[in-house]
Amino acid sequence: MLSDLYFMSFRVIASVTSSTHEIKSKTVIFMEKDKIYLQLNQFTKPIPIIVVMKAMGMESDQEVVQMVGRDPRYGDLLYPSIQECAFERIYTQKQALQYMDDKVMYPGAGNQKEGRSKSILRDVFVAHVPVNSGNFRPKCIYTAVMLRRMMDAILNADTFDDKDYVGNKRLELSGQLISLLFEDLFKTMNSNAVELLNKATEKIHSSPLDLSLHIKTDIITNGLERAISTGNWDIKRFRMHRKGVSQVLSRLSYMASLGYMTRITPQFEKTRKTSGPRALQPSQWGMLCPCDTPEGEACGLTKNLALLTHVTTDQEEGPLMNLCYSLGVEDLSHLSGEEIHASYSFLVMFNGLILGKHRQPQRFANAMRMLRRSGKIGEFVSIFVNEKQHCIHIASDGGRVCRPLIIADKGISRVKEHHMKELRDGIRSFDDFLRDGLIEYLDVNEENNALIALYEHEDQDDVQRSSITHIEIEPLTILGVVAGLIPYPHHNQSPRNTYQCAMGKQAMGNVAYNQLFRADSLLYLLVYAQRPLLTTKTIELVGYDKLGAGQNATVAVMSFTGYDIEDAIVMNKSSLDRGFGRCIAMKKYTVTKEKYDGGFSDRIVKPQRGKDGALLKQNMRALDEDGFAAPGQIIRNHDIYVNKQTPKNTNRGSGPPLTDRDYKDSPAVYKGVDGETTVVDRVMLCSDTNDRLIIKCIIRHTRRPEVGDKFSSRHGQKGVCGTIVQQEDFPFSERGICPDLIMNPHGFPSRMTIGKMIELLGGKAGVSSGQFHYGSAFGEPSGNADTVEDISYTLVKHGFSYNGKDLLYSGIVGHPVQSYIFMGPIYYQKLKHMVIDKMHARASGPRVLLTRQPTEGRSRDGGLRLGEMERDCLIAYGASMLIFERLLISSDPYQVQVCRKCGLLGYYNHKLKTSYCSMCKNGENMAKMRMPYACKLLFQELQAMNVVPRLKLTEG
Amino acid sequence: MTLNTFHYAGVSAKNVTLGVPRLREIINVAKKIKTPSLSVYLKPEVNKKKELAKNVQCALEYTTLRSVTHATEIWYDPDPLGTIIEEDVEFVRSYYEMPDEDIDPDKISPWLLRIELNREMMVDKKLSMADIAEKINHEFDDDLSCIFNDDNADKLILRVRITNDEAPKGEIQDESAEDDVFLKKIESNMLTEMALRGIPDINKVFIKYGKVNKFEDTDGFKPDNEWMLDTEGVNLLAVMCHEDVDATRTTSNHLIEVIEVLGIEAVRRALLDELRVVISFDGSYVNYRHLAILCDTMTYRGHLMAITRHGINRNDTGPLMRCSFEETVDILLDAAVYAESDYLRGVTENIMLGQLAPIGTGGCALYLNDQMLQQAIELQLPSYVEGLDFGMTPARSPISGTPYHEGMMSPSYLLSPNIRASPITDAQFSPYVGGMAFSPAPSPGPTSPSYNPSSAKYSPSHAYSPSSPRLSPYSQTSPNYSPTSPTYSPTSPSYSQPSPSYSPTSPFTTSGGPSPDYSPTSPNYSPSGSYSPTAPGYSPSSTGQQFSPKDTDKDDENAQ
Repeated sequence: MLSDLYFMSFRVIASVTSSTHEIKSKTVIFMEKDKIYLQLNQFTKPIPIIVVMKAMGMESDQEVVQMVGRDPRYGDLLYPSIQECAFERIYTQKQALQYMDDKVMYPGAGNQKEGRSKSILRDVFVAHVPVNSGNFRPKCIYTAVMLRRMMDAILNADTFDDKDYVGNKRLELSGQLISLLFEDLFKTMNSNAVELLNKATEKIHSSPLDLSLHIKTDIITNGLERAISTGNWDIKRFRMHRKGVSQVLSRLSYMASLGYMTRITPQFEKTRKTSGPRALQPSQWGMLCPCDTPEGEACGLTKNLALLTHVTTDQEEGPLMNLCYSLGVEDLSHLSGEEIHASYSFLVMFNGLILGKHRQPQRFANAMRMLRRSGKIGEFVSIFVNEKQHCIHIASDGGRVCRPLIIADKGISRVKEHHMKELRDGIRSFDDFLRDGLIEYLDVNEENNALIALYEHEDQDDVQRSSITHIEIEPLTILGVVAGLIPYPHHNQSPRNTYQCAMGKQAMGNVAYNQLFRADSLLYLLVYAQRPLLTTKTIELVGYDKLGAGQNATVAVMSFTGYDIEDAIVMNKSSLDRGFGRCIAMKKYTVTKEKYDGGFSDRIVKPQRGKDGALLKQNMRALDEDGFAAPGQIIRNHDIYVNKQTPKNTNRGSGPPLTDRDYKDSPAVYKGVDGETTVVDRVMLCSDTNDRLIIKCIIRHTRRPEVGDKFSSRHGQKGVCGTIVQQEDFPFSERGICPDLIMNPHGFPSRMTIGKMIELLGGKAGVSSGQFHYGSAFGEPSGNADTVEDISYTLVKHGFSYNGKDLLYSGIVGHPVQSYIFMGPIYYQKLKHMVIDKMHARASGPRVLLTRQPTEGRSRDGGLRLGEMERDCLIAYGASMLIFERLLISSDPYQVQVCRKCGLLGYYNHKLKTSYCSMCKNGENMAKMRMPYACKLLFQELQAMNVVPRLKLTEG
Repeated sequence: MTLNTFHYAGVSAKNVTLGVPRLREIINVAKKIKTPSLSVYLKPEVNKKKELAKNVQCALEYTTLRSVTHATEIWYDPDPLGTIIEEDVEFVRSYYEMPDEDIDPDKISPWLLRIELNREMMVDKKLSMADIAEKINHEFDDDLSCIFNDDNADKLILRVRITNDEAPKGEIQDESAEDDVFLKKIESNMLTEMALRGIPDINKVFIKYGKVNKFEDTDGFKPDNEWMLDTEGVNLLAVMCHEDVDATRTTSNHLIEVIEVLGIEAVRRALLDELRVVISFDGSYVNYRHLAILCDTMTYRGHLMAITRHGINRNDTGPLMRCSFEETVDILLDAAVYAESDYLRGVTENIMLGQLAPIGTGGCALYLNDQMLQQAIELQLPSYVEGLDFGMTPARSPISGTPYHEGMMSPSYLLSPNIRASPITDAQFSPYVGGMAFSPAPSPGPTSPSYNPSSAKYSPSHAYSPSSPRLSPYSQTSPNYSPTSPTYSPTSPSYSQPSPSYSPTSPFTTSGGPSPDYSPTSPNYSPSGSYSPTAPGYSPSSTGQQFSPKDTDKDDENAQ
């Protein structure tokens, strides 16, 4: 039930999307050339609004004008519309209804035409306002309010609603979506049953009609399963066809899973032009994370929730409405138009429905809030007093985002020290705070009425301490879960935080406590995962420090070897030998033991051995005696890991049991890269729903970092390993410490990630003093982040320089490096982009069947495409022979026989060794020519379309 | 370039489309653009003073009666000489004290159209009541009579009545019944159609003071200031015809109009200017030639060709080329229906058919003259030390029989058959590049003797040698041919010096010793690096190192 006004090239529109249990409709009122019209899908043409008002019972123009407002300006704006209505000679309700009947879109559907427009007015137009026993008055008042708002917008452009304001947005949660789906499927099942029953009653049956036979049981199950597995929600009733509603949870790392679960995706297409929805909204504060958004197409559209955000669910409306009435809201039906728009009275709207008006809005709001704080009404009900539009919005619907804030009475927080002590001791919990009225949930609209302070006891110069109504719980909660990983994000340039939010989800680490028991199709684990030395509060809250996704590497920031250009990283070979950055890649291969008709099925046989016990076929090395690969065996390319045999004739039906001869081999062969030593980790046997045996073979590969693997710190500083240098050649400090990683200092100036430098300081201090330091966002005032001064002090106390720089000796030459080098531990993550998964080369290889050109993609051993733009560049160089070689000789050259007479392609008869033209029916005049196979294919396709490309040849 | 364009913080407070949307308009030759505008330059007499420029501004801006009207009313005012409206009583009376024309009061219709004008707009447009009345009279001649009050009155009122020609009295009733409808029509007509002033389509005119560079014969370009106008709305032809407008400089940003009014060359220039404006708005720079080639391509057909399927595919290129851009099936079907032929002249067609496209390298073909071939003399090729790879021509002139000296590796093997002939003829130095091939390098004196330019024998090598890196010290012709030393050490690359011949392949092996394995393709380094055909003298001194063969050469020399 959103109501919004937007400016569309000289057209002002007020639109209301109403949805009830039965119907969902959109009502649009717009003004064109000074006349106001109503547009509804049910009517073919827009209808003048005064006609609509008359049809609803307000026959006198004066009543309409009064209802809208007494200000003469409104009258002026309404005047042309009133004129038009008079022009059409519509003066009474009946005439109005008749006029509208003519314009109904689908006449004769269902009821007689007479009542069509009335029923449309009752059910579809502004559907959520109920019409009780033909009393259209609430609808009239609602329409009048819409008109008034629209005219306000025309007179004063400031009053336009902002489409992107978070308070006007609702989130659809899974329950709502599944309920829609279920409703649709249930109704489908019912209607199918009704149809079947109708058909059945026509025939004559011996037995009484059994209802249960006609209800297909699996419509609901299959429908739900299909929708959830594909992510396509197709609901006929609401004409909704959404894609990508359900997605597979990414188990790449713990952060990836968490980040996935806090994701919010919008439904509209990713049109480039609109920059409004993509921009960062101020109303997002505290509700949606400001820096966690993907780069590229979906930038700014896909958002993530902040740490403390809660999404509300629907609440009972009835009791709330009664409560409002008893608190002094005057019912609408008792009011006249004049009273509604009096300056002192505010309209009360509940979930988009007008309840009435109230003379003392502030008292009403305070009373409702007090009731909410004491728990008498739901804690997620929001009361918002809109001074500009003179209305009070009460919202209890679902899908709003809200967050908890500490209640402050005139600037003094209700949460006292003893409460905190009880919390620490475990006597009190968050819910207790909520119940005792110390904390409450505010949604975005209600935040507008509140004055929220960041900390208590702050001397506010420009704000009266007594007018503060709430206090933030903690500033670090404006960020989301994934952004909470970043230490000192408030010292970084904000795009870097955004990049880190994207990369943190690709870091390898531990996925879950039971990761070794899970059978994921692709699982990346870090062998020696560590927790960061510089943590944040979010990391501890979320549990990331229990799992870890990186290692604390000792990093020296200096230029070294020249292999560190453009963000490349120089790595220490001995560190790699000791296990730095080592990861395990586990892939799952599934084999099914099929069952066929007649009770026959595949079988698994043990590997055949010769007389001396040696294997007959060498590629069965990895197999155990039961035909499956043994865990721990090294498996190589072309090795068999399940020795399966399939019966040759699967359609036989039942018959005599099969012998060995009747089976053919269909082993499961491992396809891997030559040179990788992969090991079978474990083999799991299980059965699926159809009772077939499924064999899951998990193959593990331990990978050591090599040149080309991608690493990144937690500040958006990604880089590829440039070279691996022996520890002997690495610079070392006076204490003998050699860095694990050398990072190029050029990465700092333009990127401005000061957080990384402070992380290094904090880590170094932490290592020396034996403590973990904190770097939560905006945490210095409240103690959640350590200040640089304190860290420097610690460093000096332990004998290091306050700025983190050390004297390093060059490992190659032996003398000290001329400047002091910034060295310390930084938490580095290994990302899942490893060069072994990407490297690809092809000289010649498989070809596509249809066009005989090289295949595409690394998995098919494909070639790289010389696209149209690349062809244009070659043309610009005049490199004609290069084009010729690339696009003909190395791609799909093909010899064709062309008939000189008719210009068509003939064929070559290998037996007779002559060419022949099918058109001319002889073999004279044939010439041989070389053309790309794709061209020959084009010509044949064109011929099939009756377009004949004839070739005229010259000597070549 | 951003997609957003509304950042124009110009003086004139108008907005012009810029950025990507404007680029699209230009390239697609859009018939309707979002902000059509004229840049109007004024004649020298007028452009120095703001007042004069303002006059032109007012004269150009299209004003209808509607823009200055505050309200219109139709009254039934039976008495033409008086009025029932109190405000007007005075001025009507004063008007009819001295009636202007002889109008029979009976002929004047009792229906009155009373127009109240907006004072601010009248002042803004510099109009007076008299102007308007005159315009009305001009339009309607004697059919309407209009009275107006003074420009300084409280309200500016214009009273219009219809004059009926026929003798009334008898038919007053009917006519008066039609009169008010007629009056309404006149009212709407006057409001929309009647142009008070200005040129139609020119909605708003802005005045601005700009710097322009004027060219004077004596001093060159001097900056000068002048007043100029920008308009919203285009009507180039009419504006150019205005007497104070400098028709030689006034332009429009609407390309279709420019081509209609000024022609194809003008539109090419206008296209270039518009593109430049769009690109340099962000501060980017694109060289003239790139924009020029775009403009030329768009206009070379004599009309504006849009860079869309409407423009490109309407050319008379072959159907295969056209079908490869956007409307494949339609074009092929049309080609089939009209039996079009494709002469395979374009690039795309040749690529599709797998032939060498007639561009760049494929632009020339080699023809062999059969008859001359019959008269050709068989050449005796010298025996090489190591098999010369293909292309190796006997740079060593068979006559001298000496292969090049070791340093001279003349990659001239790459030479065309022509070279073969050269040793026989003389001085075929043909194109030596730079001609300085010889000598710049201080040939180690004694060696030079053999060098005589005339000995074309070797010259060809450099002349053509695609790579003859002449070793400098032995200035090319390093005369020391020691027939015995067939070892030209390819290593000589060091001598690469001014080998005028660019070595297409400069395949010099680096390793010392007569490793004849210069593969035509192995790029070897040139010690000097510059192998450019024009490589000027290369100081031999620098070639100090890597000259292993040098020693041998010297030995040879000495040996000689």
